[in-house]
Amino acid sequence: MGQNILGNTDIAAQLDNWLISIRLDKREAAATIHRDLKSSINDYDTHNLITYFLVESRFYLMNKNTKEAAASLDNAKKYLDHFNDIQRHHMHIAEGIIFYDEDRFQEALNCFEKAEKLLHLIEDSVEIGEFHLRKAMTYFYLDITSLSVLHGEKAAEAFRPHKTFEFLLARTEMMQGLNFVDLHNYDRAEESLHKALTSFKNLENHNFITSTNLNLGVLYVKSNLPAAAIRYLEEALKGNQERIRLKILYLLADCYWKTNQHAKALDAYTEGFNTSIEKGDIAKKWEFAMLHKKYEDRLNFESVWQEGIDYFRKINDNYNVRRFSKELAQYYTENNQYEIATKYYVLALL
Amino acid sequence: MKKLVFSLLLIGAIIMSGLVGYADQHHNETAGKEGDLGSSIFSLKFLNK
Repeated sequence: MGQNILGNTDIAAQLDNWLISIRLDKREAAATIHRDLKSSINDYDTHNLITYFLVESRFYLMNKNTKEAAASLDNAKKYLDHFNDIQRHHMHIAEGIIFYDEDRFQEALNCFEKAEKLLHLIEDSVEIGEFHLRKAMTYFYLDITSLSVLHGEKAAEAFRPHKTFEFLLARTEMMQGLNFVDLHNYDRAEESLHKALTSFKNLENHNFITSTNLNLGVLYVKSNLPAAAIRYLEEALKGNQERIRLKILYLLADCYWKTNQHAKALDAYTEGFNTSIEKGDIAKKWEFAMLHKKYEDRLNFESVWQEGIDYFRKINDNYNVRRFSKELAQYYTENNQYEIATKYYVLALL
Repeated sequence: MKKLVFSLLLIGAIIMSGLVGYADQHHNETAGKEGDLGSSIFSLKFLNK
């Protein structure tokens, strides 16, 4: 039952406890406090009410309920005129997280930029580090590598002095590893990714062990070491993480083809292609189709790659437009088809 | 001759794409990168106190 007799000072203390439970991922405790606090919101002053809705948004995010998280934010925004600057900062971060989780990275970045203007008001070094890590991750997916590295370094500076933040530091190192892959600095990428892997193993965080194995696979694919990549990708596949399974299967199929393991390549391709259709993941379906044409169905290679690139242009996935256009342009250049090669070199430089 | 035309086209393309790329940078909604960073929802439960 609710405790309507709580004064506003007690409510503020309980809101603090709630936020701590959320940050420590104590889901049951957070759910209990949520029930108690919710039953007495009519008694809150405006300041506590705003804080309540902001923390509630975070609570729903923790439970991967983006819709309710957005609704809580909307409730908070009804009192926008009464927000103090720290509450405004937290609102922008919560909005950014929601956009990030929906893969709307440009909108997420806009929110984080608004939050950054108020970052000087935040004293907690973990919170500052988390902010920089989120912004760096957003830059990573927007393929703005230099700024991702810069914010990644700021995040690492905040986490590094505190042994207790090893998890967040490892996430930062994993991201920096992928940034170094994009910068073709494979030695530093390898060092960062292996550091991250060691930390995640120490912390027994299996989801992130799987993600790091995938990322090591990416590193070895990009540095033309498919046999080394297979070792990590097979390990990643054993992690049974549904969210990234298609990414793993795609790279595995590519590596199996490169190492002349046709049967295994076809198995990985077939599972990946069919699953992407079942899930309605059209972008991944195109990636698998293009991979298949590259190795098994050369007659349709050009037409399918052209159509695939058109699709990625249509959905504004410039990363994939660049990636596939560069390879297609090189193919046309090798075949002395310079005019069409030029068209794809233009797209490769988008 | 063909190579010269190709080089000129390529230089033009690089200049154009620089302009287009800058303008488009702010509309890039998705990026299907091969790697994975996980969610931007962090929890501190892995603090090794």
